[in-house]
Amino acid sequence: MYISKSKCNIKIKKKFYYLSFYLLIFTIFFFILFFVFLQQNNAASNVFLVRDFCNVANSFLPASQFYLSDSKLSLDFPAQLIYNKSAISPYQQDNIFMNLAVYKSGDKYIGLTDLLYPPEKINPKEEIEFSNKNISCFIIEKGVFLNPVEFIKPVLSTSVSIVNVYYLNEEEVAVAFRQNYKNNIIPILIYTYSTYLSGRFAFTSNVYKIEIFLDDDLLYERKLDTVSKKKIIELLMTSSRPQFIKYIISNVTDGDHILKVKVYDFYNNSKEILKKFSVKSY
Amino acid sequence: MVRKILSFFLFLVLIGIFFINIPSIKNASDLKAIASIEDKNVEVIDKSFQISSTIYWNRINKVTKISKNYNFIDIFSENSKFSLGKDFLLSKEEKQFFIIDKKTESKNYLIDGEIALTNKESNLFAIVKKNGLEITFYQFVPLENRAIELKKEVFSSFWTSYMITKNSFYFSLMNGNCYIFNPFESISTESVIKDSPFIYSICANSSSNNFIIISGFGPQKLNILNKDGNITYEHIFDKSYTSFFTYLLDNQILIVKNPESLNLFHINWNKNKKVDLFNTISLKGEILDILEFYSFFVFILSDGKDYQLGIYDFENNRFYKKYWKEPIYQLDIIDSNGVFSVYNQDKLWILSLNQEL
Repeated sequence: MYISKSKCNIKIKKKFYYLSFYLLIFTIFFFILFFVFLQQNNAASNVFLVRDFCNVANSFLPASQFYLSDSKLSLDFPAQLIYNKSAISPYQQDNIFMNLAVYKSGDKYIGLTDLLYPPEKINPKEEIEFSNKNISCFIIEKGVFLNPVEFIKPVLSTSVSIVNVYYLNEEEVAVAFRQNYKNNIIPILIYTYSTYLSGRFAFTSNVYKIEIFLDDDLLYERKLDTVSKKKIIELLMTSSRPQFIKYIISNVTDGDHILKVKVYDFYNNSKEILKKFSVKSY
Repeated sequence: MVRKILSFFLFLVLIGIFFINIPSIKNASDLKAIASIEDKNVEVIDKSFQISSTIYWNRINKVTKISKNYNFIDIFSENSKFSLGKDFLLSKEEKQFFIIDKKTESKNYLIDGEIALTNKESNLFAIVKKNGLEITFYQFVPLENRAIELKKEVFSSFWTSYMITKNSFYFSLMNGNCYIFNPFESISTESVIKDSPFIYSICANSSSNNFIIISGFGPQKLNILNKDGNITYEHIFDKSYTSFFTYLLDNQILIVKNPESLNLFHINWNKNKKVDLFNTISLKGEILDILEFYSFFVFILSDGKDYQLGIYDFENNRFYKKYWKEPIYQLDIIDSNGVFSVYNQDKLWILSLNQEL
């Protein structure tokens, strides 16, 4: 009898536990539903994003910028001056560089800005002097931009990452955040300077990993570790357009937000850009 | 003895011919000045001259319109930089470009960008992004008061020079490629020029789809190319230079300015010998601006310290130059009869070539 009573108690307890469990699940589900509903209500119904989303400052230059503490640089290679042009007139604002000297070294063309007196020939270890501490440099070999950082790194201590990223500028269609998630597209162009690049376009994506954060919450992560480096190089060789991602973002609440895009290259160099934006209902 | 006298006489004749054919460099002190304008103070020298069309004086941060009876109106925006096209103005405010119709002065936002590429004689123009590779091509339509986007392109390299004609865009790129875009004939190519890893300069005029480049270093070459980017003629220079300015006049005379001299070539598109050097003038400095009349071309020459106005009369094969006390940067045609303006940001002079120089 005692045993049967205790069995009965156990059964009741079990039922109670099951009921509590189901109640808990139901409550959690209800809370989730409520939370989602609340979020949807808070989400912008018809929202537009500021045009300034695409900041020119985030745009990249195929020429890397370097800082020279003493305005001097000695290169490890011999080079001959083949091109030298400086703006004389304040009306000459139609060029990327106000002054530029291009040197030929083997098959490479090395562009340097802000040289004080561009020497006709540079001998290895010979110091060249600049008029500015911030200089730009680019390298073209066989018609393709190379990463100048790797080339100049031995003589410069620089923290410039070879990976870079910027939001693709689409001025004609202002990037919009709307409740309809299909419209909430972030176009992002990702590129690196790569010695593997070939073909017509000098920049494209050889990003190993990309992470997109909204207000420090990781929204998106893409790893290319399953694709071999060789395969990526093949893709790059055959790519006819610059690579970009159109990432879709939904349920963005009213108010200020920060979007962070972080990209990594094969060597785990990374670069991130932050962008503040506001979402408003109207 | 008679032979010796004859040879000596012949030698004298040859020397005489040589000296006669040397391009004469004279001071154009008698170049007729019609008026000088400093800010809005006018000094009229020739009162018989009337301004028949509006002068758009680009002062970089504003454009001053000078109309009949020397009336002045400023087109101005805060923190702006202006560029001139044929029927339009472009103003860059921070990173935003606005297009302004010259006639209506209505202003519309166009695009964000870094650099505007215009030609004062053309309604074609382009806007380049900060990276120097992304470029958007436009055509301004005066009657519709708007600019039509023709094309977006990503160049494979920076450019060394460009030319915008009335119907085409031409770019010489540092990686040995040339880019040509003629929106009216749907021609758009980026051609790799064989054996020319670096292109210094490109030029063309509105009358042909052929174009001319200077490329390579040791040896440096002048090439004529057709619209498909195929080389149809090659001329090798004796000496290489680190910069060039090239300009093809409407009468098919090619101007090639290197840091040391001004070289003039006749271009015969259809003959075997397509390039014929007919004059070389020792002239140091860089050409800052150029304009052409029926039988003259006028240019500003400077080494950054001295400023000169050069005038070449190619009917009589004569060259004149005049030193200017103040810096001068830009030229504009006022009247096709030979009246033009020369200016900097603060001062503008109206000059005439009608007077015997």
